[in-house]
Amino acid sequence: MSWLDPQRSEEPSSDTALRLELRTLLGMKPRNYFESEPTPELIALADDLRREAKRRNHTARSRSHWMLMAAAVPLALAFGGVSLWGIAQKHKADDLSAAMEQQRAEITRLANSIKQPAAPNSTEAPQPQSLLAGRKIAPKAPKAKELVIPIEHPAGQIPQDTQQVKAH
Amino acid sequence: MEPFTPSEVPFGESAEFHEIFSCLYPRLVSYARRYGATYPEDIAQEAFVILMQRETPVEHPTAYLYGTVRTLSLTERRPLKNQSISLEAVVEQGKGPEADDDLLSQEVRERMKTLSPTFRETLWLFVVEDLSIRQIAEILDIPEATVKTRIHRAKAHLRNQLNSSGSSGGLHVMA
Repeated sequence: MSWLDPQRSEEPSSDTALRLELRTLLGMKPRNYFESEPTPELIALADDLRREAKRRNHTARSRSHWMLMAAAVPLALAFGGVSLWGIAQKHKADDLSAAMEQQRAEITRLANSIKQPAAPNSTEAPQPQSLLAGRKIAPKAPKAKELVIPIEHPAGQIPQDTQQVKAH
Repeated sequence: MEPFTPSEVPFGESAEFHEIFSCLYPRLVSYARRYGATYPEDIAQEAFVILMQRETPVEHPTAYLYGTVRTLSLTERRPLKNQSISLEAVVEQGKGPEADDDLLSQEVRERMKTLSPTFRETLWLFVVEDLSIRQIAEILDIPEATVKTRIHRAKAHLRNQLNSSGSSGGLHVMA
């Protein structure tokens, strides 16, 4: 990069003329108001500033690198911790699932082992509730024949302590 | 003093750098002083360091330096809550006018003062600092058309002022 600005050297002549006109209006003398020769002090200052810029460049770059690393470490630790916790949880879930499967298989096996010896006595097994209910609903069996003696009430004789009502 | 190798010199040869630094540094110090900076030398030096510290080159180094000085000077005054203060206001309040004493005559300064702060800032950069319109636009962060408008309005104002002030001022200007 050059200190010389290309835009400045390519300034339109109209702008240059405008500047001269303004200087005339202001009453400024046509001279360079910032003429200065390089002095030893200015040269030393320029070199010092360049050294400072160089030093800052090195410092800033290394610092930014280390700061990036320092910022990444907690994130990496957090990510690793979460990953380990997730893996542990998955193992735990797998173990629980396997234990439940084993328990279910054991129950099935026990149920089968109970069913097999009970099969021969199945005829004497208590009857289900539905059959009992069916019995309750079923009509009663006819009773044995009983002796029935018909009672003949005498006509026109109203028994005492009774009241006659008309039937509709 | 240990000489710099060409690879360590970001802006060309050391001799060129020294020459341009010697030319620009006093101007930047004066520019910072105009904004009422307490430590204008520090601000100008910081602007150079910031420019040389950049990894990517800038298109207009001079404009970049002026813009940096302007920003740093205004930032220095931030505790005073004068961030949006103009060049004119700063010059009138601070110790800025002394910066003009060696550069401009009393008459020129009086004429500059009649301009509005906005126009005066633009006119100063264009006429005294000898910067191009594009550089001024970059420093003030405004469009080039706005810079041109301000300059032409300042010119019209100066013309009206000369016409109204009578023949004495006009004769002086013509002379």
